[in-house]
Amino acid sequence: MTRFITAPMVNVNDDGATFSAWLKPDGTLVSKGEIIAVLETSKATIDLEAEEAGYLRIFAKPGSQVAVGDVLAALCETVEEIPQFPQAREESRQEAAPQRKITRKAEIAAAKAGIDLAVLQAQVTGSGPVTEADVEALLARRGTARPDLTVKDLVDDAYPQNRRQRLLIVGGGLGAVQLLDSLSRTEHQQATAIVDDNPSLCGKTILNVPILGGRDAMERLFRDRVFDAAVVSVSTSIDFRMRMTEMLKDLIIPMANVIDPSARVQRNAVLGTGNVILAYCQIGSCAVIGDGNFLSPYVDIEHHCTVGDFCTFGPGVMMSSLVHIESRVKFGTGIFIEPKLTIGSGSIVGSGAILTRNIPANSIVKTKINYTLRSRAVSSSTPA
Amino acid sequence: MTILESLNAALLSLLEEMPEVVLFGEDLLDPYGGAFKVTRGLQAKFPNRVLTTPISEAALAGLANGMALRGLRPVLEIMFGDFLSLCMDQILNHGSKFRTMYNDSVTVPVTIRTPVGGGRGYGPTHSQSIEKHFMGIPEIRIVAPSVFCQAGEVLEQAVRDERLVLFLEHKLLYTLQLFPESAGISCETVLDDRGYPAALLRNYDAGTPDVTLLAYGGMSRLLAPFLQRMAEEEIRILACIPTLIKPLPFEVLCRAASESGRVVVAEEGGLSWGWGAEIAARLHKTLFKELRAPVTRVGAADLAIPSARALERAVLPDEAAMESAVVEVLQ
Repeated sequence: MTRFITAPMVNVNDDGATFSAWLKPDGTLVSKGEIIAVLETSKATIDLEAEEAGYLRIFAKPGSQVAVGDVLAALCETVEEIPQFPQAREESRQEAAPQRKITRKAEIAAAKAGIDLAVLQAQVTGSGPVTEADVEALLARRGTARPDLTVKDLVDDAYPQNRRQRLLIVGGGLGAVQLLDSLSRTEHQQATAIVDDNPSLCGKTILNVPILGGRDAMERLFRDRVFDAAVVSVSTSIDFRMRMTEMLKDLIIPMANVIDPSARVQRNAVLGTGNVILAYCQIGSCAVIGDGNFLSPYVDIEHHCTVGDFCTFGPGVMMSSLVHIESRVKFGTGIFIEPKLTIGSGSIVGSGAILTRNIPANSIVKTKINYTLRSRAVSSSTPA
Repeated sequence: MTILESLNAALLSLLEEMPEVVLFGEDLLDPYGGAFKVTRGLQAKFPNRVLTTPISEAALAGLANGMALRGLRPVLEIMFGDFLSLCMDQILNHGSKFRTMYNDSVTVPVTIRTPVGGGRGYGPTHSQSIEKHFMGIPEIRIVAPSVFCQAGEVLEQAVRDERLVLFLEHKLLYTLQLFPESAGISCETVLDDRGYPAALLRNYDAGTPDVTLLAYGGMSRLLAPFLQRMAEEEIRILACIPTLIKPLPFEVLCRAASESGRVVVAEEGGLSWGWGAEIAARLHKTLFKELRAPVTRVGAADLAIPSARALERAVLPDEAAMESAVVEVLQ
């Protein structure tokens, strides 16, 4: 086996040496321990011994500077062998740290503002590292800096005629996402804060709107003028929506309606407060709707209908005119209601129902839908 | 030009211009030219004024004091700064005090040149930045060239100084170029009130710095790349690198510190009782209302310096330590 001879570390003073001379010509068979070359350091000359026997193949040139570890020669088993000069040994260099996407300055700014780095990375688009300016822009978009900050009034407060109503969203779940989606296209309102009782959500954001605490934070945030009015985003639990509305009323916090711009509210319709009306709903002429109702997309409250308080409508609940829906009624998806019917308080109407007669209070309407279900034959040519 | 070449040229010009200059120390003679080759080629030109000596540093320091009292201007090389401890009595109780004790009738213009600092695996007794043990001695001056000064000119100034000067040459600087090319870093030289230069490096074009970094000597070798990297991190740094270490060129340091109000002091010597401690105390007194963060120090661990390279790296301060301190004062 070919053995390479490298320049030795002679003393700590020198990182290398001057290669003085070969004492044996190229191709000589040398024996182990034989002196084959001379090196000169700043302090002395050094004899280089063959570490084992072999045919000498010379690389280093006399008079050249060699660094510790440089290959000087090889000892080969046969005289014909021409060893490949090995690649110069790379300094064992530390792996370069992976390209960090956030500058130190941006990190510090984010930490000061209480912005989670993962959130920061997710919210800043574009190429190159996330910079301090990105953090500042993010803070400006949010309008508020961090949960424990006393949020100063927005600049546009000086011009009330131009001001967008600022909303607090109560509940940071799926309903909040729908609400914020609608608000993102709404001209006269903007969401400035979310509260959610799950403490692990605090400091995070939904569609750029920060979650600033639980229900306990509502009073402080309102006092700090973070928002003008509140709306409850939770559609599934009527009880929760009622409790939160009660609490907000006790705190003398006004409630707002949020209406998707694609929804249509016809002439002389009357709305209470705290209602959520999502995309493509219609509130017909002269319809009257109470407080705290949640209307999923494509709900049609026809003309001259009335709806009480805290009802929840799944998508696609359609009714004819002059229907009276009392309070706390929960509708599933895809329901049709004949005209002039009354749906009593606290009832639950399952998906797919077609209501043709009055429903007394606290009823459950369950629909039996007949359908058959069987596996279809799948051949290899049929797309799965 | 390297620092080594600059120092060598300065010694040559001193010998040529000032007949009272005498160089001596261990192994100075050609062809060896001193352990770090600073005096190489000088003995051949001035065989009677470049002298080699026995290994007896205490005697050498005494010899220098005596020469200075009698009108010569001795430049003594101590092979490693660590051996300055052997000269302590002659520096502390003699050279530094003669002027006062003899009522200003004498001066002691001694320059003691010596290589200091670690980074080469020389171990506990050949790697120290020993100067903090001398910083408390009244009347002497301690001077250290950096890569951001004309090292030779600073040496000439030290030799012409009427005080006893310890001139500290960091080992790792010898082979480095003066004023290294560093893209994006500006370098300005200011003079302190004793006429020694200080370099001001900035890694930004406009605005005020985020952090002021104070450092000297061997630490200067890290600064250009460090400032470049900090610029990538959007951190604007003003680095102030004086050559006069003691007494402090306080006005220069203070002005640099007040530009940002956030100060990191980096030195290679052990952290406790060092240069940074004195600067921190004085800056807190002078700039108390302007400081936006406590003055933060970077230095070596208070340990003997290991020979093993990996352990040595762990003990001595590096860019990572400076970065942590910079981030700390910004938070």
